[in-house]
Amino acid sequence: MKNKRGTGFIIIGLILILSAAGLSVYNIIEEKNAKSFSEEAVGILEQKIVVEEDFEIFENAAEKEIPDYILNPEMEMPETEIEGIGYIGTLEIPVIGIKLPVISEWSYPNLKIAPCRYFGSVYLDNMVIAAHNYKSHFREIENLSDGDEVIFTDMDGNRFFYSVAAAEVLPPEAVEEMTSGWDLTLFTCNPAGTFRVAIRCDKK
Amino acid sequence: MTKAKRFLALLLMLIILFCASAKVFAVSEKIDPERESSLEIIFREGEKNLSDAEFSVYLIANITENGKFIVTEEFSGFNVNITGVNDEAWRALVMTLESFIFQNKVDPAVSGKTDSDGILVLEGLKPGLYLVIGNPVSIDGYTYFAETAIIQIPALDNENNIWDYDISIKPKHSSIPDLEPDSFVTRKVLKIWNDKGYEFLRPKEITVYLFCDGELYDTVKLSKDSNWRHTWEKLDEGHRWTVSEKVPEGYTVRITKEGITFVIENSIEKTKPPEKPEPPKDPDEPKLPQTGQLWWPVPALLGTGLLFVAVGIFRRRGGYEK
Repeated sequence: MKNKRGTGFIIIGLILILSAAGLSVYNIIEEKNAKSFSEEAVGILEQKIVVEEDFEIFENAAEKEIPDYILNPEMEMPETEIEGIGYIGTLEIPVIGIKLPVISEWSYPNLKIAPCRYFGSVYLDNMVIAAHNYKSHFREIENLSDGDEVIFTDMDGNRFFYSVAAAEVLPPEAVEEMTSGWDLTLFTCNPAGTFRVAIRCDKK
Repeated sequence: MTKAKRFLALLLMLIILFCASAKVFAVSEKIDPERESSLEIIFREGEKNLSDAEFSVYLIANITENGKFIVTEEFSGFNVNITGVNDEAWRALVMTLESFIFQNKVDPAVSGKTDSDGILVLEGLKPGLYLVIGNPVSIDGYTYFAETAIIQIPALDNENNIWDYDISIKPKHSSIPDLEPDSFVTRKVLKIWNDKGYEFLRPKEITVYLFCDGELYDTVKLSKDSNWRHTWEKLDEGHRWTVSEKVPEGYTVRITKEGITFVIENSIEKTKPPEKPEPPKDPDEPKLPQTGQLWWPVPALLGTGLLFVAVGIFRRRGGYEK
C-alpha cells in the first residue's frame, strides 16, 4: 500500500517536472519564433522604406518637398502590410543592438511577432510602443541609460531621433500615466509580469 | 447643403476681406456699379516686355454702390471656408477660387494676350471682384509664370479720395529656364480633415482633379487606404499644375500649396447634425497589456515535482515504517 502511494507521488512529481520542461520548451520556441518573425519583417520593411536624406536645398521654394506629417501632424501613420499585418516603421536602439519592426495595432497575437504601437503617433510626439520581454525584443531596455539613442523610422522614410530621459516602473492599471507626457515611451513587463518597465524618451 | 448656405459661406469671407477698407469707405463717394471699367495688365521683367502672355479675368462678385459684394451665380456653389485678411488667407482664397474655376470650367468675363510692350488692356468690365489668371508663356529660353491675383474694381485712389474705375496691375511672376524636353516635376496632394468628433460624416473616398494649365489632366480617388494622399511624378515642367476636389456634402474647402504639395483641407460646416452617441465605455478597468513570458511557473513546477519524486522514493523505501 505504501509502495503504491510512493509510486503515485513519483508519478505526480514527474508530471510536474515534465510540465516545467514543456513550458520552458514552449517559451523558448515562442521567443525563437518572435526573433525570426521580427528579423524577417524588419528585412522586408527596410527594403520598402526609402530614407529621406537631408532635404535638397532648392533655390525655388515652390519645388521644395515638405514631409506630409509636418503639413498634417494629425495624419494617420502610413502602414505597410506583411501577411495581413500593418506595420508603421522600425525601431532602433543601437546601444543594445536591436532593430525591430513596429506593428500598427497591438493585440496579444501581434505582440508574439513584433513590438506594437500601444498608443499615439510619432507625429504627435506621444507614441507608446509595447513589446514582450523576449531577449530579442524589449528585455534589455531596462538596461538603457539616460542619453542613449533611440531611432524610429516611419514608412515614408522620415527618421525621428530620441534620447532616453527616464525609466519608470508602473502597475498594470497605470494606463493614463503610461500614455501621457512623453515624446516616446517603450514598455515591457518585468520578469514576473507583475509590473511594466517604461523607458521614457525625449525627442532630439 | 443648400445653395443659400454656400452663398453665405463665401459672402462671410468676402465681408471679412472687405473690412480692410472699411475706414476709407466712410470718407469715399458711392460706387457706380454699372460704370464701364477697364483693367490694364503690365507684364514685364525689368526692362523686358513679356509679350503674347494670355490672361483671363473672372468675375467673382458684383459690387453695390455701398461696396457690398454680391457673389455671381456661377460662384454661388463655391463652398469655401477662409477667414482673415493676412497674406496666407489671400493665397488660400486665390488658389481655392482658381481650382473652382478650372473644375467647373467657368467662362472668363474677358481674356486676351499681352502685346509687344507686355501690355494687355481689357475693357468693358463692370465694377466687382475679379480673379486674374495668366497662362505660362515661354520667351527667349525662359518660361514665365504669372501669379494669380484677386483684384477689386474700382480701386481707391488714396491721393484724391475717389474711386478709380480704370486700374492697372503688374502681376508678380516667377520664371524657370527652359530645360531639356524631359524635365519633370513632382506634385503631391494631401487631404486634411478638420472634423474632429464628426469623422463618421466623412465620405469613404474623395475625387481629386489635377489640371495642367487649366485643362483636366488626371483624376484620382483618395481614401483612408491611401492615407488621403497621392503623388504625381514625371509631370512636364513648364506648366501650371493645380488641383481641385469634389467638395463633400456638409464640408467647406480650402486649398493651399506648400512646396510641391497641394493641401486640401475640408472643414465640417458650423450647422452640424446631431452628434452620434458615444458607445458605452468598457466597465472593466483598463489594464496595460501583459508583455511577460510565463517563466515564473517553471521553477515552481520543477521544485514541487522534485519534492513529490523525493517523497515518493522515500515512501517506496518504507521511510515511514517503524
